[in-house]
Amino acid sequence: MVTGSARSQGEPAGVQLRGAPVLGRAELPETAGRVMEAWLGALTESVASGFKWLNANHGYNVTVFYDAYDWQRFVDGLWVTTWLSLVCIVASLVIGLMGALIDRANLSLATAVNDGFFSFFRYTPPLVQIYFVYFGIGYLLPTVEDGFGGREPILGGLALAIVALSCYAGASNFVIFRAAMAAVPRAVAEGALALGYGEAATYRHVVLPLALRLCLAPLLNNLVNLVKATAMAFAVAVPEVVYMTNQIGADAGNRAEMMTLLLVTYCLVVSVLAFGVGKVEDAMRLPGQAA
Amino acid sequence: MSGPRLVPWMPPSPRAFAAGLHAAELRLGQWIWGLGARPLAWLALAFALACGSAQAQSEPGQASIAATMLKYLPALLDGFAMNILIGVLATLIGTVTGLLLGIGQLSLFGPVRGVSFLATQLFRNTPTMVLLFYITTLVPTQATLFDLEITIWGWLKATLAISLSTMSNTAEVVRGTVQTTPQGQWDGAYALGFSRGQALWRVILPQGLPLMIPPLLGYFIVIVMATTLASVVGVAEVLATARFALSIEEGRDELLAPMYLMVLLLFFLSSYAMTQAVALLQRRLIGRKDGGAP
Repeated sequence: MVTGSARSQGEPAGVQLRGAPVLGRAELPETAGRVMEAWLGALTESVASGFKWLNANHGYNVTVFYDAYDWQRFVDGLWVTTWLSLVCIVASLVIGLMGALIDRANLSLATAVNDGFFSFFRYTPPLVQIYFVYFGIGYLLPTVEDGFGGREPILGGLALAIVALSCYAGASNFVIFRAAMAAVPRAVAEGALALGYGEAATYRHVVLPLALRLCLAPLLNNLVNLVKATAMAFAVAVPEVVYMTNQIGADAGNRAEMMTLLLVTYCLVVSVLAFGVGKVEDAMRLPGQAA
Repeated sequence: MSGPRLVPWMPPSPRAFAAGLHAAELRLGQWIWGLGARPLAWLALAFALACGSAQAQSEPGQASIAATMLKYLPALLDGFAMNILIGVLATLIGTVTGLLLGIGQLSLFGPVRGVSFLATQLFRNTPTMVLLFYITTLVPTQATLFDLEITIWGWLKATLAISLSTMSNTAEVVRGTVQTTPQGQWDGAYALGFSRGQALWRVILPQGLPLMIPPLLGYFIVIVMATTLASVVGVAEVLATARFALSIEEGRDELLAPMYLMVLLLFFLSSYAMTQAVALLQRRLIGRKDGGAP
């Protein structure tokens, strides 16, 4: 409670209830925090003892749930996966949208380069793309001091995996955006122009909002697929959840249990995402558009 | 109610054929450039550039980049054959089981419906990579079947993992196709005295299956691309072969870009050709120019 303590120096802060003692601003959340901490502690403890019992009696050893270090590694992995997914989603959307706008601009050379770029990423396997970007392009990049007397490439595995995965998903986004923009009737854009909208304003306020709702279903599906595809970043040693799970499995000798945990984790997370995506699709469907 | 109608493909009359041939001749160059050759030209250019720049970086006295690439090309093609093999097997297994699973989701018997739904969701919402790790870890390498020692090779496990992924996606396609069939088709079949199973096999699926072929063929391309994942569990397919070749040529870092680009080129060529063929088939199967796109 940084803000609370900073404020309390200046003014006599407090919650004055009639007939109740003055309760300091900082105290209320602190008490709630302590209660929550106690609850969480009890929960962690019981989960830990449960899994210890499972290990002792059935030989089913899920270290993650009772070993603080393994738990930390697993959570770190999940965190990297989340972060990687979010960055790739944003970057792939930007890439796809840029591609669709370039395609729409109808400049012969730009369109040719655009087509070549996106065909390349659509018709080749993402895993090979990751290797190619990591080893092939990473090798050509300039190097910087790594602080241990050696030199390292300016972009590491994480950055290059982001580049490869964003371009891979961006290629699908490009196709989806292009189809959606083509599906917006020309007359709608012309109507906006006739009303005095500029070229950019027509896109910003008329074509893109309509296109977005037309393409929402395939777009969101593709983004869910991208979240699944981030598992491939494991191949270039990005410390995401697959990598971390493999590490824990190798260290603790419980590969089978860790792989099951990984499967269940991914299934739960992606199921929740897919469910949410379905709800958003239902809510955003254009009136009259087929289900 | 007016879904895309199936138009049986008929051989054209000689006159129409000649006229079509003439038009095709006129447009052939344009077509090749517009559809086939442009991205290929870009990729070939990139490959040539990569080879050229790699050549500039390589030390004198070593085999040229082009010669080295040519040396490993047969091995890479062998590896690629493994990708195709796994891809074809996974497609076959996945399509058949997926068809059953998709129908299972429509069962009137609750437990069958529930299990089919859960199985579909489980395998659909898990990355193929994770499934692959799971199966390589948990399926034993040696198994005894009726007193017969059998070895489950890595590539078989990879095939199994990719099949499961294919199965769940096919199941969704089947379920979607059957569910979008107009209710009148069911009612008509029932009115003619068909049972539910008969209506499904004799009326609903025969209408839907041809429509599923193009998306499933398109999905075959995705499956073949997914077979590269098998390299991370040690199957000797094209990516693993490329990595092995690079480890033989250790220290020649300039080979990295051309080698991986060659693997990409192999996939690009086959996927692109296949995509064009599927688009053509789709225009044939569905009597609409836009291939029945919504």
